Amino acid sequence: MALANVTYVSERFRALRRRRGNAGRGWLVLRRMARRVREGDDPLDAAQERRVRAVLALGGVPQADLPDGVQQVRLRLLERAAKGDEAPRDVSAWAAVVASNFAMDWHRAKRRQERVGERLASLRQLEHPSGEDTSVLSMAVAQGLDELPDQQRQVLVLRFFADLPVRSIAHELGIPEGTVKSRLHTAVRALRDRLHEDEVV
Amino acid sequence: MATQNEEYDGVDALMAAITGEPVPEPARADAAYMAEHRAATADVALLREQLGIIGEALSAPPPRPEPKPVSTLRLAPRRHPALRALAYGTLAMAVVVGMITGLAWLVAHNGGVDSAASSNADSGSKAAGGADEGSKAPGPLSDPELYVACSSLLVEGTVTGVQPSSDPRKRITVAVTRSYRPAHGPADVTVVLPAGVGPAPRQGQHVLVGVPKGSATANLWVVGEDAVAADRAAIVDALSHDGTVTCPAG
Repeated sequence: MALANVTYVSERFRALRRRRGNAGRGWLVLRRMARRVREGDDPLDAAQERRVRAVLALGGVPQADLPDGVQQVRLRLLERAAKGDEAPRDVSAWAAVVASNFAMDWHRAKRRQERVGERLASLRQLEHPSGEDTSVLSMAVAQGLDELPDQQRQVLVLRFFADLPVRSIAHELGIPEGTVKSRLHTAVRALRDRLHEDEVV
Repeated sequence: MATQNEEYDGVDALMAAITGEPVPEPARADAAYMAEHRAATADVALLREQLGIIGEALSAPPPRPEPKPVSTLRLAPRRHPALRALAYGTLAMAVVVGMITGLAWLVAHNGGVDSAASSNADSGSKAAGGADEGSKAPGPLSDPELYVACSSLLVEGTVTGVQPSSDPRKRITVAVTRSYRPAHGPADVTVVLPAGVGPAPRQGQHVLVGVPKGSATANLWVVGEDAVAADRAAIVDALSHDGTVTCPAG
């Protein structure tokens, strides 16, 4: 695990400790977990971390805050273990949901969201073998994402990027399946309409 | 005839495509519904693909700004036919050669062993040259994240011993002040430097030395506080993105 990340995790744990008062048993477990992270036993593997970063980015979290989001997900995993909870059956899916919630919280805290389309445009070129047409399409999709309400975008990313079934999304977010379906339907229809109007598909 | 919003069992074509659930049996006989379902499925697949592309593009580490060298350190002519020197450098004062602080990478290609050297003014002249003029061939740290990912040992410290040997390779001992790979290493490490590396190792030098995975010989050898500090920043930055780059197998 990166030195900087270890330092960051340590700071987070110190902050947790301050908030929670002096150590209880849970804190001792957290310390042990932190030591495991330092020793290379990262609760997120490289692929899971990349996926978390992508979910955060698609949720509108800016580049500079992505490491913070990833660490939040790690901490949630560690805290979960410290409480004695079983590890998630599918860590990738669980981490994607936590990351999407972080993106939602981030928006609420910042009262703004970074425009995904603008960020994408600032990147020189998307690396994709299909070339320029793909960039135009990606830009259109990114701008469409920007125009979606946060809740619709969250379920869209969880369904079509994190590949979670509707039932899992509903369970993880604590909302009815019908609500997830409704949000997905509205979001996809809006994106389709936009792409067809823009004649990029 | 079904319209776009025709529903069977409360499921329209778009919803069936979104959830991935089977099309309701009665809808299979409805050509318009099925056509809309195929179109919706194609659009959903496109959306999946695009989210993957966008997510990857936005979550990738930001591109590292190109270094702005004041001038490129020109290496001396090749002294060792088997060595090819690759150089990056900075001039603290362009007109004062003696104050040049630079970094020179030597890449030996006899036997596939790389060596790298960083030099100050006087030692720079000792660095084996041979880089093609204008060449921008990269040194080991041209891609710090890849280098870090492919290192078995990457430490900074002070040379405390140079074992005399008839072997042109030098075995040195370094008192480690910072260990990057592994994150927590021993206080002292012994490293074999490739033949012809420059500046020649001496006791008391502050160095950065790296050994790639699968090799017993260092391929990174940086000498001097300034040069080490410059590369330290790149390494620390690369470590902050640890895990984003994996070392290619083989």
